[in-house]
Amino acid sequence: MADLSDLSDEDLESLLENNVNRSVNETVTRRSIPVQRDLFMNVLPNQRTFYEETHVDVKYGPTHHQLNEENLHEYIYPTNYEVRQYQYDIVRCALFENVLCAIPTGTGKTFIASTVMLNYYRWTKTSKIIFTAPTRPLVAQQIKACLGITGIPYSDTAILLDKSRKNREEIWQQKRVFFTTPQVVENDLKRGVLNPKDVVLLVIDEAHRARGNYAYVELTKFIDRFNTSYRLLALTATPAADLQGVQEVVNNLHISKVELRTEDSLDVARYMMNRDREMVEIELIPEIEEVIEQIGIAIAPVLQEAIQLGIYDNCEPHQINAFVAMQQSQKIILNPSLPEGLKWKNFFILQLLSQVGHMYRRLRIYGLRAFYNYFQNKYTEFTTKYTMKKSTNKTAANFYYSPILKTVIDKCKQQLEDPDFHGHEKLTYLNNELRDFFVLARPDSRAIIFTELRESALEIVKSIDIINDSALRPHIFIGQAKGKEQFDEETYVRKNKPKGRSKADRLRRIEEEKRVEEEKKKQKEQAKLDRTARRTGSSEEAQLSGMNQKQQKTVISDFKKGIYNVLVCTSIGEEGLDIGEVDLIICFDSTSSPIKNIQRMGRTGRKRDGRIVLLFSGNEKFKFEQAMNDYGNLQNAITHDALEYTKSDRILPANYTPQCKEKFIIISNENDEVNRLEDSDEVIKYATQAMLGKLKTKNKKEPKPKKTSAKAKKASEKTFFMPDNVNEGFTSASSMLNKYTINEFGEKVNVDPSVSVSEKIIKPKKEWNMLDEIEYDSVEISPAKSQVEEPSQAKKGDALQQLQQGILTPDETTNHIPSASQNSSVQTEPRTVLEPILKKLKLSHPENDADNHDYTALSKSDSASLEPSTEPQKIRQKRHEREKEFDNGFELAPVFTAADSSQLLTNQEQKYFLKKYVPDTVQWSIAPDLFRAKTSKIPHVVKIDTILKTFQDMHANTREKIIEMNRTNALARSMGYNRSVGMELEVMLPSIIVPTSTNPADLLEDEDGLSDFLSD
Amino acid sequence: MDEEKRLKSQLRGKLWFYVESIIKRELLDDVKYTPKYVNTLTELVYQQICEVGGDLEAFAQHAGRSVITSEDMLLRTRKNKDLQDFLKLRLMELRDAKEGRQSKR
Repeated sequence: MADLSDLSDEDLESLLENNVNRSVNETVTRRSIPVQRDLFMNVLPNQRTFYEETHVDVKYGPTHHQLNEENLHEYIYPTNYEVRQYQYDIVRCALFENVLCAIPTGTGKTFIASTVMLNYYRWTKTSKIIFTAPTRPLVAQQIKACLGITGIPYSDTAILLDKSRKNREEIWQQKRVFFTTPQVVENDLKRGVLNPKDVVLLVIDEAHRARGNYAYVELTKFIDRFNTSYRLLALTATPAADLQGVQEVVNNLHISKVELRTEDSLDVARYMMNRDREMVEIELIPEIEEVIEQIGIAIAPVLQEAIQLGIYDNCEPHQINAFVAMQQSQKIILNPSLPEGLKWKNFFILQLLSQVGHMYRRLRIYGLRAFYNYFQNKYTEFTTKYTMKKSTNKTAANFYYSPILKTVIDKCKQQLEDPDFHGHEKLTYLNNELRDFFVLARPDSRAIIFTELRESALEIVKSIDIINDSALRPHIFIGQAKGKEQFDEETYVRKNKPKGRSKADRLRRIEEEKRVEEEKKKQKEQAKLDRTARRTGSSEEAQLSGMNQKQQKTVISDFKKGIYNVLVCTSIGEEGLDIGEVDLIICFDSTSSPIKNIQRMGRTGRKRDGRIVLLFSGNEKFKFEQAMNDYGNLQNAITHDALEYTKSDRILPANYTPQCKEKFIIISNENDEVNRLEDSDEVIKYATQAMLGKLKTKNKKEPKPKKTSAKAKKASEKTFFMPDNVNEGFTSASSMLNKYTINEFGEKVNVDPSVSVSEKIIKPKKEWNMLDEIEYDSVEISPAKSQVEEPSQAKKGDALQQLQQGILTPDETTNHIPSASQNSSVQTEPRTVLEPILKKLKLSHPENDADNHDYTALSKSDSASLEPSTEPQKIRQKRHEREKEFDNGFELAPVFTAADSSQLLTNQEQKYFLKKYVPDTVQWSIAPDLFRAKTSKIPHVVKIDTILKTFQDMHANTREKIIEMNRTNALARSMGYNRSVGMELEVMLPSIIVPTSTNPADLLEDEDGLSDFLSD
Repeated sequence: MDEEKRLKSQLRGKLWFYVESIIKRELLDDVKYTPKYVNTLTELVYQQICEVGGDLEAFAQHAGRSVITSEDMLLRTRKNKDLQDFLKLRLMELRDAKEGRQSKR
């Protein structure tokens, strides 16, 4: 195996590209465009000298998958469910192209995926079909749909969710249809357990996540290196929040078509359940208004200062926005030109403003309680630090110690002590709404309330609980992260106290710490007991410590069973959880992300009509509508073809155009069993068992020899996926050297013709060989070199040679020769490259065309006399022909195609050329004869010349000129200074020598006038 | 020779001062300028003055005089109507002032 370690990733990739069935032919056409020049005819820097068109032509060869030919003439469309037109259309597209399918939630994405999977299952014999989804419940959903609709036999399917690595290896080999998460596939691909060449269909659910370096992206990248002949089906409800995002997804997944439907699309709307959406704007209660006002008074001086310093835009105190303040403070920190002191002063001001902004946000959207908690936390944090002299932030001190604030907070506290007090009107409205809803609703109705803050979620749970209505059984549902630690005054004080140095001190400290720790534990224990005594206890508990996956699962199953019927979720409930059917959605706050909003609303109206209530206060309504508008615009843009797509392989041979066959699929008992299961875990469990052949109804066909297989697997070697015809094993270094001999024309000839350059592109190492070059370089007359340099030397003299040497290092040129002598057309390559340079040279050395012709003839005879052999002669001839074309001014510079060059040059050489010669394919459509321009030849008038020179000197910072300038400046200063002090101007004026024989009157007159004129 | 050099640089210095004060006067308050700019402008003015000086000398010689008069200047500015008018006006004012002064004496 050749050592590839010195190749860059790109090189490796280009090597690998060689054996996928996609061939990309990139054609670049460049045309020179007029450039701006200065008075000296020099081209001004930083402008493009050419216009470039890139045309990419993607072709696919025949697929390597084994196709099941008798099935190719038709595709099956299951009619077990109602046939929906849009699904029918999308399936037809998705079979032949990589489709991004963006249709609203609850419109049967899983059905589309299942149908496509079924057909690829039928069309191919051994290839693998993979379904990936980011979460377990989604995988379970698909398993259910796929097995329940399509009836793909269990014996060929596998679920790779809870399998250990060892087990997976065997499963990958035995099965054909897989349900799993992208991470599993990615790992197994990288481990070499799954052969990327086997994949024929990859279904990606929740495809909007395919951005950045999420597993989906890595996955497709990896497969793409080895296999371009696979179908990709991406499913999502919300492609992305902006067009750029969609484009990123499309690029990452190589999508060639987007199928987009919205709830309003004609073909979809018909099947949508009715969703009753109500937007309610909630007024702020007077208590909140008051607090807002009071805080405004307290913060006003700080805001004023910020405005004066120019770090915050002028606004009313109640308009302070946390986000804007944060942004500003980031900007200040990153500004290197600010002095440190000022920087931090500004930063602290903005930090305070941002805190106030947060307070406002909480007040307006979540109510007094959320505000109070936040404030209290910040307040204790600051005051503790301040009293300990850890912080000397005067501005913040003025704010936090302001007497206005104290009264407000006290009032707040009093109000909040009353448990019946609702911190926000939203809570009252929400309670009423819930009560009304459950009075009329069916007994199995469920409701979900979305909010972004955990605190607020708990508050909602508590407020519902207080109503004490047996029909309302709320629970909180949050992620597993622990609640943010509140600022602990005691710990902070202890930590930052002056410490004793002695051993006794230390012991005492440790003792103390232990004691405090224990006390805290006790307190926590007590609080826990207290909480369990209350009904909302578990919610409170959860809010503090987060919910782990097990707790989440129990809550969800309880919710489904009806133990709880109101779920208060943070953003975790928005997508991917199998919460089941919900009839009422209440969004306690709104987000500016359209994806989140849509996912939230998509939780209802799946199988029966649903109701959505959006609660707005402050500017939330505006934000929400803007977000939804933007999203609408985005969808418009997508449907109007604002995206760039990649062409995808059809996979099926062109002579097959499958016809649709609608068919009612009879589903086996085991498969049908799945349809009856509700819970995602049960589905997975059942399906796994079924696939392992462990169901009672099924004969135990393959009693798994589990233990032995486990042992056998241990021994199985790691597989590396290498390009198809790559050499493996060891090669001795000596065999890698190129063995040259010099033939009678002084050319290098490869001793071993089997190692021909053009054939072995895969091993660039072989013809890259330093040893031989050094040997030849040391010889005075390097035969290889002379071949290229001789003509050019004769032509343009030393200048060109230097040029050429700068571009082609000696290694390069010499290395190039062996291949050149074999393949005559290579010889033209460096010529093409040189042409623009020759042109440039012409500019500086104007030459007659006749000269050129003369020379051509000369060099022809030259070469003829030098090399009497016929082979090289031909090459020369050819080149001269080209030269003539060029000289006529209509030279046909070839369009440089990547495919072309890959045959002629090795990868490294090609890369080198492309890097070094930007204008390698510049076509001079009309060659400008710039060297004839007259302006550059005629010298300027002395005056203009001097002025120009001054400009140049100023521009180039010529030292003497700068010194002179400063001297003159100093003179002028001294003059100005003297004048301003009041000295007579004439005193320091240089004595101007006046010719004696003049009319003094005349002179005086003018001089008086002049000085008058100037001094005003 | 040294004397001439000194004189020239003195003249340049003085020119700089006036150029700069004119720039200061004409520019808006918040517009800044670099010394390099002043230098080039001074150079430009200097060259222009030299040229005008040479022309004036030539005109005077052509008229058979050894002293340059205001008429030479008017001749020099014949192509710039506005400037010529301005100069004429100025000249008239000066003449009037001189007469006034003379009458006072």
